[in-house]
Parts: sequence; structure tokens; C-alpha cells
Amino acid sequence: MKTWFNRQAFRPDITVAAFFAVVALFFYGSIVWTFVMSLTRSTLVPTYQIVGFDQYVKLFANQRWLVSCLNMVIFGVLYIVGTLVFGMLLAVLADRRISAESLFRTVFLYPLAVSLVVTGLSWRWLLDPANGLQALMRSIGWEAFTFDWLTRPDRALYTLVIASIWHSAGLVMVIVLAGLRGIDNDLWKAIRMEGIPLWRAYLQVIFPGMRPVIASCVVLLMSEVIRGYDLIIAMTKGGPGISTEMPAKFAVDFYFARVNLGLASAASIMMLVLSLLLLAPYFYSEFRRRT
Amino acid sequence: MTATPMAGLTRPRPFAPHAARIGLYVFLVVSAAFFLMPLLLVLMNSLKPIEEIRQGNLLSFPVAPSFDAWVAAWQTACTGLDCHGVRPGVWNSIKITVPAVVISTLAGALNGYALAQWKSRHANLIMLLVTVGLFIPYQAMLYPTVKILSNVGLFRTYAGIVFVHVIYGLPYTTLLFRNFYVGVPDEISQAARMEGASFLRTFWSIILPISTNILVVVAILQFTGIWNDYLLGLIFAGNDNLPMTVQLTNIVNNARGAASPNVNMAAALITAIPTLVVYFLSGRYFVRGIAAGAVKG
Amino acid sequence: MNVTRLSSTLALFGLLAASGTALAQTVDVQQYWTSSSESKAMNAIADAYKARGGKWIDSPSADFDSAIAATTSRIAGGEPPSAVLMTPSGAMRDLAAAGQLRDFNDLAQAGGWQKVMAPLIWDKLNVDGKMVGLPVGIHADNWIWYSKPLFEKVGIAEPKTLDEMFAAADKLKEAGHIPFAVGGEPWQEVSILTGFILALGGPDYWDQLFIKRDPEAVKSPILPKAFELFRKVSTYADPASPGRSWNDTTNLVVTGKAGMQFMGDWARGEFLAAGQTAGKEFGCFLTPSDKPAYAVIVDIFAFPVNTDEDRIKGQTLLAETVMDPAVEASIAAVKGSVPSRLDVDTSTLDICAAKGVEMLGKLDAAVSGTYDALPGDMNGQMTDLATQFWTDPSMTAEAAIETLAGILQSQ
Repeated sequence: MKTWFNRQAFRPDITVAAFFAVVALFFYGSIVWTFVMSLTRSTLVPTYQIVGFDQYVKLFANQRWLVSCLNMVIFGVLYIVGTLVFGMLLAVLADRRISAESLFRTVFLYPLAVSLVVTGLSWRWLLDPANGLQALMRSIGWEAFTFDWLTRPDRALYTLVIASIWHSAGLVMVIVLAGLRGIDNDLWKAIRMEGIPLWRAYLQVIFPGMRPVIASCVVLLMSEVIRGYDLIIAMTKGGPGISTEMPAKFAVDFYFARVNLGLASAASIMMLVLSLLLLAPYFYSEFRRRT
Repeated sequence: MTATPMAGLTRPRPFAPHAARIGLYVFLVVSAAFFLMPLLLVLMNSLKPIEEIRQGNLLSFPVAPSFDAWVAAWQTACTGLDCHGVRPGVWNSIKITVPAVVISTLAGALNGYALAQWKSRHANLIMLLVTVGLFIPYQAMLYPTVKILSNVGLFRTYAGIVFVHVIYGLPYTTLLFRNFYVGVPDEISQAARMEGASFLRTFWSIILPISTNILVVVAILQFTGIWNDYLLGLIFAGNDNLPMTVQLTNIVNNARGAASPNVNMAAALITAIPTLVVYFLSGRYFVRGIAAGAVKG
Repeated sequence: MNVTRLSSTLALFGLLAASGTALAQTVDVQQYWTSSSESKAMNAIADAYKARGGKWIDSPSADFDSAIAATTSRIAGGEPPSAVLMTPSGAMRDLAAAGQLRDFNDLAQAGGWQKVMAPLIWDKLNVDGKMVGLPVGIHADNWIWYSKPLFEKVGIAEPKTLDEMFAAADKLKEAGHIPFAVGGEPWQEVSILTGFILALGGPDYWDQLFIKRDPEAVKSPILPKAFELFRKVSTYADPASPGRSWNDTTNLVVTGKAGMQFMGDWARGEFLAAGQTAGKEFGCFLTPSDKPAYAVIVDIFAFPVNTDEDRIKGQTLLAETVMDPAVEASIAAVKGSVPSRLDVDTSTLDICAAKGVEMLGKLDAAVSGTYDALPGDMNGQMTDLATQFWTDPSMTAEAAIETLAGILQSQ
């Protein structure tokens, strides 16, 4: 074993090839197979009789799928914007030479270590109108206090946004803070000498200069949006009604509980197309930069 | 990226007026409350006896704190007909997480180093394909993965669930390491190569020892991800290896007898403890890892 | 690591496992009975099974959908459970059509099972002449449960018509109680809707709409009326309704916080588990109608095809256990169901169960609930529609009926 280990030539390509074979089989093989399935009427057992794009037609006639997609867009925009704004604000404040900075940072970041299942359960308990925040406010005398979004079909989606911002704002803060700490001191000097107000300095000079950092935050958050599943299961199970359904849950439900392999495959392919479309600008700039 | 003490003197100065300074702290404290509230709520209620929860609301402080709910959550809460608490789930999670983290981190390091060393015009294409793989929603791959694993006899086995975590984590760990190794001076590898060291030998004896920081960082990220996984465990682990996230949701959804939110909350906390401990102990690495991964990426 | 030693250790484990299981008859049961009455019933089955020398592996899921999901993924992965708790629904027929379920024709013949079951039940359990489902108990989902003390306090009697029922609801509301306890989960909501369709249309219309799926049936004026009543119930729901489990909801009636609950008679098990007696602390009636009907749902075990000798034996043993009249009686006693065998002694059943047995005996009253009548995906889509209508007040009955028509004609 030892001798074999040492006798090999310096050949990174072998390792690359092995690694890529795994990626190709599991990731791209799965996609090809899923695409084939999406062209069939498979229910429980895969059948390989191609019937064309029927499943896609059915998919886009399915109300729940449409609602799921719309929910994902609304959730995604609010979550990404909210997390960025909150996270960047925290980063800026933490960069103001505050005392107990590491304590604050620890508090802001710890949710990232908590699973989405526990996150969802905690927020479900906190926002339960009968027992949680609303009940507390009323019990201490604020009778008119109402926060029943979790149980309202038109608002439940926003409770998911709140819980997700809670989970990820610290992440953005840390990334942006690291970016801020990397900023050249001369730039700060220049800003002070010009007498530019602080808020304008951040908005017009500092943040624009950190575009790559912010872009990578967006990409990270975006992949969370498309994969969103655990949080929904723990917090709302897609309800009330279908008001918090999302594509990932649609796919998993139709693969297994609804036993409709064909339709679930079509949904998976659409999820993939969607995520590639969203990420295309990032990949484009990333690889133009590299080459 | 590191802030030297000198830098601290010249950079953003508190030239804000006093009132703004107070406003800043108020905002930070309110934000801290927002972040602490959910877990404090869970902690408080896990310490209340059930009668106290029925009488008051969830946000009152426990009058007579007790650890009974913790004990129940640990060893007697029911999932289905079995009533052994989250204990078996926590043990299963440890058994799954430890090897999955070690393997996916080391394999990621090897692959990342290979990709960084591999000079080829296809390198960029491979990088693109791997990066895209990172963003494939894994729900879309579940069914085919079930099929592949069942063909090799690993579906619903211990080895199977570890394997799935390694595979699904590999693009991520590989990219993190690759980004790190691209920044390592090429002379180090060149020198080893000149002396006739094999690729694996160079990696093992020269590259790994200088990678301690990034190894710790990636291992922590993988640990958090795998420990907290729900869906993969649900589908691939099998009865005997169900991780604690799955058992937790089973316990919370188990409606047997009177609902006991205090036990549910204690169970939720128990399952969150390991990652929180790792987070608090490794704070610096954790932060550095996230920042490094994102900023360089 | 010493590879040789590792592999020999593994081989030893394999041998031990093989020799260990060769003696036992193992059954791996995918099930979702987790409420207090349900788990008592499942324990009754497990205990009886173990008493016959079997080994029971419990695979619990949180609810019906998760149990089906787990079963599907396990079958897809070639590691099927050996028994699945389900209903003789679309999912069962899909599995049977795919050749994934073991049939029990031989045991049924030997045991003379057809003779001891109502024809409606027997038909549900058979797909293409193969008996693939073994009944555990019979329920109906168009029951309404109410709190006797609360009705007395507010001064209302058991409603005989839909109007009386809503009048009772108004009185309860005025008195500051929850009139209808509803658990806001899609499956709970849809059964209220189908309950109204059955009450308004009667068994014949039901047959036309859900069993024959006649395209003309959706044009009947019955449907707009049913959706209207369904909407009306939603206006009585309490704020904490969304996402509440059925048994937590039943508990509101048990504790006298709410007046009535639309729920299958598994709810009876929760009253019994709380030590209450039918006719004393709680009462029951079927959705009021001039064409009384009984929407039957059967709990069954289905047995995915297994190849392990030990597991096949386990399936046989479980089948025999479940079909034992004594076991059926013990399940019915805690679960709120009616025994599926006609030869089980029913003299000890309470008034609600007795009413169920009576309705089941009427050939023109007992119909298949939608769970059993519709293909799984169709039932799922109808559930999606019902919950959407329930939670979105702006959705009109016309729009909902148009969608329903599309769903019912989709296969």
C-alpha cells in the first residue's frame, strides 16, 4: 500500500476524473433520468414510454404548482432583500467600533447553527396566536395586540420570511463585515477629508465597491430559496390551505405521497431550469472573470 | 481581511453625535432580542411543568423550573409505538455525522487540491459543471438517488446514508478547498514534485499539514449541515438509523395522550445543543470559514 | 484497519442476523396511528401479534400522507415495508395495479372471509379479483360530534336538519363558545365539503359524481349549495384553527370549549380515551339529510410484496391476527371503529357505534368515502382545491366547481 502510494506519478488528473465521474453520475445522471421520466406517464414504477410534454402541460394547469411558484418568488424577493438589508445594517453598526462586538456578533450569528427544523418549530410556537407573542401582549394589558399571521392564508408566507431572515441575517452580517474590514484605510481617510456624510459614504462608495461580496451573498441566499423545504415542513406544512406551498415541497409530495413520478419529474426539471436562469448572470460573470 | 489594531485607530470613527450613538446601541440590543427570543421561549417552556404551560402563556417565566420535560424528551417521549425519546436519534445522528464529515472533508480537500493543480483547458468547464451541481435543488435528485442506492444495496442502510451525505456534500467541500489551494504558492507543490513525490504523497504529507485552518472550517460547516439535515435522513437512513431531526418531528407530531409542548421543546433543544456547542467553541473559525468561503468564492 | 478482520466480523454479523431471523416471523409495519386512541388500537394489534410469536418492527409516520410517501420511497428503493396501514384508496389500487401488493386469496378462501364481510367492504378490498387489503376496522367520515353538557347549557337539542345545525352554531357562538371546532388541515377541511355534498345529494348523486364521475353531475345545483355551506362553516372557525391536528380539535369538544366537530368516528376513540361515554358526555349524528347516507372509510393493512421468507411468514401471521374476531373487537373498543367482520359481537357497542353498524347494514345508505372512491392523485387534487376554497374567501363557488369538474375528468 505504502509503495503504491509513493510510486504514482504526479497525476492530479486521475483524482479529477474520479471525482468528476461521481458528480456526473449522481448529479447529471440524475438530471437526465429525471428529464426522461418527465416525458412519461410513470406513476409508481418508472415506465420508459415517451409521451411528450404532457406532464409539463398538466403541471402548468395545476393550481398548486402555480401558487407554489408565485410563493417562491414573493418569499425569495422578500427574504433576500430583507436579509441583505438587515445583515448589512448589522455589519455597518458592528463596524462602528462598538463595545461588546464579539458578544453581539455571537448572538446575531448563532441561528445559523440551529437546524431549520428547530427554527421552524420555535417560530411556530412563538407566533401561535393562542399561546405565543399575541397571548403575551394581551396578558400584559395590550388587549388589542394582534399578530396572527401564522394562521392567516394571506400572511402566513411572511412568517416564513421572518423566520428565514432570523436564520440567515447573521450570515450576511459576517460576510459583509469581513468585506468592510478589508477596505483600505486610505479610502476612509479620503471620505473623511471630503466630508461625505457617513450614510452616503456607505451607499455610494463602500457598498458599490463590495459588489462581488454582496453578489455571493445573494447567490447563497438564492440557493436556500430554491431548496426551501425543512422550514416549511416544521412551520406551516404548506398551509393554511396551500398558502405556503413551494416547488421543492411540491416535487417531494408528488414523488412519494401522491405517487406521480412523471409529474414530480416535470416539476423537478422546472425547478432546475428556474435555478439556472436565476444563477445564469452569476455564472456568466464568474467564469468571464476566471478566463 | 484581518483588522490590525493600527487599522482600528484610523478607520470608521465614532464621529456620530452622542444621540446617534445611543440609537445605535438601542438598535443593536433590540436586534439581539429578536435573535434570542425564539430560543429563549423554547428554553423557558422546556423548564415548565405541563400545568404551568396550560395556565399561562408561552412567554411567561417558569415559576417552578424543573428538568422533568428534558428527562422525558431524552428517554420516554414516543415516536409511534416506541417510547425511547430522542436518545436513539441523537446517537444515530452522531454515528452518521462523524464519518460523513470526515470523509466529505478529506475527499473535498483531495479533489480541491487536484482541481487547483490540474492545468487543462477543460478545467474551467469542470469547475462550471461542479458549481452548477452545487445549486441543483437536491429534492430534484431524490428519486434517482433512491434508485442508484437500491441497485448497489445501500438504500436504507447505515453506509447508505453516510454515502449520500458525502456525495451531496462533495461539490461544496471541493469548491471551498479548491478556492483555498488556488491561493497556496505553487512552489510548494513544485518542490515536492521535483523530488519525485507522487500526487497523493504530496497531498498527504505536504499539503494537508498546511491546511489545518481550512480543514477545521469546512468540517464545521459540514457538521452543521449534516447534523441538521432532515429530508435525506427521512428517506435514506432506514428505521434503525433515523437521525434526530426525523425523530424530533415524529415526537412533535406524535399526538399520543395530551399534547406536551414542554417535552417537545426540550426535545428540540436537545437536538440543537451539539451544533450550538460547536458554534460557541469554534466561533472564530466558524466566522472565518463563512467569510472566507463567500468572499473568495 | 485490518481489512480481513473487518470482513470476517461483518460475515459473522450476517450469519448471526440470518440465523436469528430464521426463527422469527418479522413484520415491518409502516403506520401513522399516533393519537392516544389510535396508538392503543395499534398496540392491541402489536400485542396480539407478538403473543403469537411474531417480531414487530414499528415504522411510524406523522400522518397518512407521510406513511404513503415512506412506503412509496421504500418500494422504489427495493426495501418495502411488509405491512402498510392505509385505506383501500387510490394509493392501494395504484400499488396493486403495479403488482406491488401480496394477495390473500388463499387465506381468504380458507377462512371464508367473504361471507363474514359486508359486500361493499369486500369489494373495496379486492382489485382484479385479488384480495389485497385486510380490514382493521370501519369508519365513516360524515359524522358530527358534539358536547352534551355544552348543548344543555346553551339549551339546544341534537339538530335534525342542516338549518337546525347552523341555528345551534349561532346559539353557541352567541354564548361565547366555538360553534364548530375545525382543524385547519387540508384533509380535515375536504371531508366537511364532501359531507355536505353527500347530505344534499344523497347516495345516488354521490355515486354519479364520485364513482361514475358523470360529466353531467358537476352541473347539478347541489354543488354550489354544498360549497356555500362549506364556506359558511369556515366563518365559524376559531382563529387557532389553522394547522391544528384532528385530535387536538376533538379535545376542544371533549373539554367543552367547542360545541361540534365534523370528523370521522375515529374521534369517538378520543372521547373514550378521555373516559367519556356516548349519550352522556358526548353525542353524535350524521350530517343531517333527508337521504341519510354513510361515507365509509376502511382502515386496512396492505402487504407490499416481500421476498424474505421470514417476512412473508410475518405477513401471514399479521393477516391472521388482524382477521381474528377477538382482535377486531378489541380494536373497535378503543379506536371508535366498527368491526369489519359481521360475526363480531356488537351487543356491547355504544349508541354511536350501534348507529354505525345499523347504517352499514343498509345497502342504499353506505357509500364509499372519497378516499376510497377516487384515484389517489384525484383525491389529492380535490383536497388541494377544498383547502384553497376554505382559506380564500374571494374564490367563488363557480370557479371551484369548474376546477372540480376538471379534476374529476382528469383520468
